[in-house]
Amino acid sequence: MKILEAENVTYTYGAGTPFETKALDNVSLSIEKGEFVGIIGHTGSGKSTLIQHFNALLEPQKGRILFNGNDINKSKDTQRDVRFKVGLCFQYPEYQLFEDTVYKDISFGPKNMGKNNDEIDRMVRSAARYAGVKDELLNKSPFDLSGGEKRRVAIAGVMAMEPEVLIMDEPAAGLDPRGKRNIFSLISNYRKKTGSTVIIVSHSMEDVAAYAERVVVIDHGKVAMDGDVDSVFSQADKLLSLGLNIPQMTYIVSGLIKKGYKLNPAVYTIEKAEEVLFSYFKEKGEKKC
Amino acid sequence: MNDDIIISFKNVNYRYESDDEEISLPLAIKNFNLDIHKGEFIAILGHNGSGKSTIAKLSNAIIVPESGHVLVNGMDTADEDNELKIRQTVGVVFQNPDNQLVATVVEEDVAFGPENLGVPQKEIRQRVDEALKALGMYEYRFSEPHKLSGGQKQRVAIAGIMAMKTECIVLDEPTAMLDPQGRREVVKYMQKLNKELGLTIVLITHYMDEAVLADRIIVMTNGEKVAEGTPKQVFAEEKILENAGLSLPDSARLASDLRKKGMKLPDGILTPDDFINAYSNYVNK
Repeated sequence: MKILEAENVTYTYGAGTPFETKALDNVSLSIEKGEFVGIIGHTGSGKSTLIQHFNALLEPQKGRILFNGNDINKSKDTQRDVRFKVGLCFQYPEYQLFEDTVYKDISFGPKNMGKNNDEIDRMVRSAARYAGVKDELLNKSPFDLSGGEKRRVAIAGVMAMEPEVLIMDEPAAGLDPRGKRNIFSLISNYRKKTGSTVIIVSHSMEDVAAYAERVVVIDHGKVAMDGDVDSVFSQADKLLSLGLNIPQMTYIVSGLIKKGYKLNPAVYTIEKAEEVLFSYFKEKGEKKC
Repeated sequence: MNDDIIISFKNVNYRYESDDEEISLPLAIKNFNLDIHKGEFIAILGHNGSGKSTIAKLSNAIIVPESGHVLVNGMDTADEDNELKIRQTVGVVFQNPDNQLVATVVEEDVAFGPENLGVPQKEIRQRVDEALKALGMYEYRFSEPHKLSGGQKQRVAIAGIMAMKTECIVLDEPTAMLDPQGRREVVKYMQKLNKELGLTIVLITHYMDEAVLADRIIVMTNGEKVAEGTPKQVFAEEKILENAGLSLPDSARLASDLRKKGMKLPDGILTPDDFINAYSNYVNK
């Protein structure tokens, strides 16, 4: 079942001025309920413009955005409504923390939804748990927390609205390797437990390859590639021509294939590379010199 | 005093002040010793909160040690009379370029640093053009900084430091906000500044693949130095890195995992190309 659809969406910044740029050019894309989608594209490709359309922060100049089959921009009410159902977590969301306690910050969304206090409390605590925010942090000021903790509080704030679709722009940007792993494992856990649809925008091909099921590549305001992780990352040359990186493991395997090793090219994680390279070694054996 | 050393940290301790006078925060930097040599390219690795940004601030007298000394070309950063000279020697570029661009036109922004150092107008013109050309931003000299891409903004910020003609540039996670393309650009220019102009570069990062390019790597955990050496030496210390909340570069981790399974791959595999060579030398087609 389709949960979110973009239908022939076009959006131009600075229309009619010398700085006119077409950020989205007749984009059609549909997201199925429960999917885990990674959106990739270089800076300026239009991917941020696209996700801002998904919760009505931007309105298409041409085309429509549908949520569960209904046009989200039909009225001010439908626009307001979709912001609770499609939760958008921006890049560096910790810059948007503003309340004097962590609890109040996380409860901001549910409060705006008009929930009663019991409901708010339940929503805050459940979101805090999903985001790995410990109980003892709830009464602290968000400004006394570490960078990684602040990030998780900001993510909890979006999860607290219990959106049907969770969209995150570069959720692990600026975090060290351990912090990054934590964020991605909490996102996959959240999705498994709640069955929500998750869309992640990321520059890191490794992260998208490791966590997403479907990959959408945006280039010059259009959908340039769309498919499961295998079908997109096996086209290394095309990704490189779009100014994107390929995962290091894909680079290694395609480098070995060029040297005459007959390996399966669909490799993008360390675990998979290890499996493929080790079984090849077992089969062919060591060079005698 | 060794003339070859540009920055020397001697038994440095530093602690941030708490808002609450009753509470004393733990040391952010503990008994830190490091000599940075002229022309060296050093990478400082560490998890978030490990104290690596504090090192950047200590290196040009933005903050001074609680005890111990930081010497820049032999000048103590704790002596206020040295401040101007120190800032002329060590420039710091921070993580977010949006916080360090001050002017509305690119070339004015680059001129800001040298103007504050009291450089004569005519020379400023020269330095600004030179720095912008070196960083490939000359054609953008009349642009508005906020309309540039992240990688371009960061290059303008670096040009601003270059125009001050500091011998040493400290970059605190300069690529954290950039996409892969922007990261490649900035790293390329850092190498150029180091190799072609002989500038000392201190790169603070948590990207392992950037640290691989350095002459020497320092690893920080909780304010302390826990490992130090060439990239090959440091990345052989898998346990220390793991405890420091860091990981090996992907190619090094793959090699290490395969060695554990019994494959006799050589030590010192850090990049994808290293791995491809090692594997093809070892395994039959």
